[in-house]
Amino acid sequence: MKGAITMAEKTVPATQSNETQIVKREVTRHPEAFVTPLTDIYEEENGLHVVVDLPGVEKSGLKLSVENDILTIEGHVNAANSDTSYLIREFEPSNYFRQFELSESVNREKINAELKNGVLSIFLPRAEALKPRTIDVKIN
Amino acid sequence: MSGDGLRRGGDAAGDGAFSLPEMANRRQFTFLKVGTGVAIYVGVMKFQAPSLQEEKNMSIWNFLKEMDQLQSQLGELARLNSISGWPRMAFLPGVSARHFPMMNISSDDQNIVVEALAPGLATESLKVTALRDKLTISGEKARMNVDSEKYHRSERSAGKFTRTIELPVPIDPDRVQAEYNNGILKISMPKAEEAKPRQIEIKLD
Repeated sequence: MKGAITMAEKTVPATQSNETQIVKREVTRHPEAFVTPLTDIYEEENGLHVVVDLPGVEKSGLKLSVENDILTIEGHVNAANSDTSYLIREFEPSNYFRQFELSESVNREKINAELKNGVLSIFLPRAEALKPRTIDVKIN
Repeated sequence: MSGDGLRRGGDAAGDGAFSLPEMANRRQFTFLKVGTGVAIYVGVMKFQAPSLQEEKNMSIWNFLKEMDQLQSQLGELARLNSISGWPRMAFLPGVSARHFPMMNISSDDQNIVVEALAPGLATESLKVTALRDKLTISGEKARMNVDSEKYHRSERSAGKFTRTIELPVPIDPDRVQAEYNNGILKISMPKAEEAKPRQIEIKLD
């Protein structure tokens, strides 16, 4: 479809099983660990909606940027108190990182985002010139 | 062969096999002899169907009902045994491939604190029930009202859920506090008075 917005992914695709799988520090030699947040992307007539699950991320810990056509979502969570004694531990609070490539048909000036209950909703509006138009046909 | 018609297969054959509900209750699926009947293998488990001589009792032996019971038992078993990397029995209907929401449970002298990782819940649907040493969380992660053909990517799950956990000690249900922030549900439950650790003073003469 001409003018359709496509996004190529720049990270390892998330599966249900790697949702909580944390890249250990020993593996990456990186001071922080990241997981790929689960994401929904759907397309409406006026643009793309990106919905990302970021449980535990506050507004201050969220970094959202577009640089060189790459949309970067980075969420930081507060580290858990290390002297808590856990009876059961099924998840570890972890930072989130995911990138998407934007196509040219996204209007970068008008991207907006909302964070609510740990879910980030990003709206990527379609550039004006690419919006589907209906043309009135006059019949004489 | 028992005359009451209520005895189940396997048992009556005298070959030492347990009947299906017995096996399900025992939750141990070991040392089954292959008798004259048909053996059913499910994974490493084997089930014995009645042999030919017991077929006259088949109308009483409700196969569907027993399979239903078995299925729920197996589902529970699969859930208990779901170690990462092992095949999970997600094909069994009604059994989730994983726990939702995932929980961290911590405790100190006074409280038990449960944290559940559950982003995007409809807060009005969220229900927390505490009863003595059981805690149940149920709710609904709202399904978005979007046609499926509009999706480029769909990874987030949605729908209703319920999860019950057993707590190590009884709690005081009247003073349970729950808060939902940034997609994490935090429930703190004071331990019941009788479960709290007590310091015993030692008298010295």
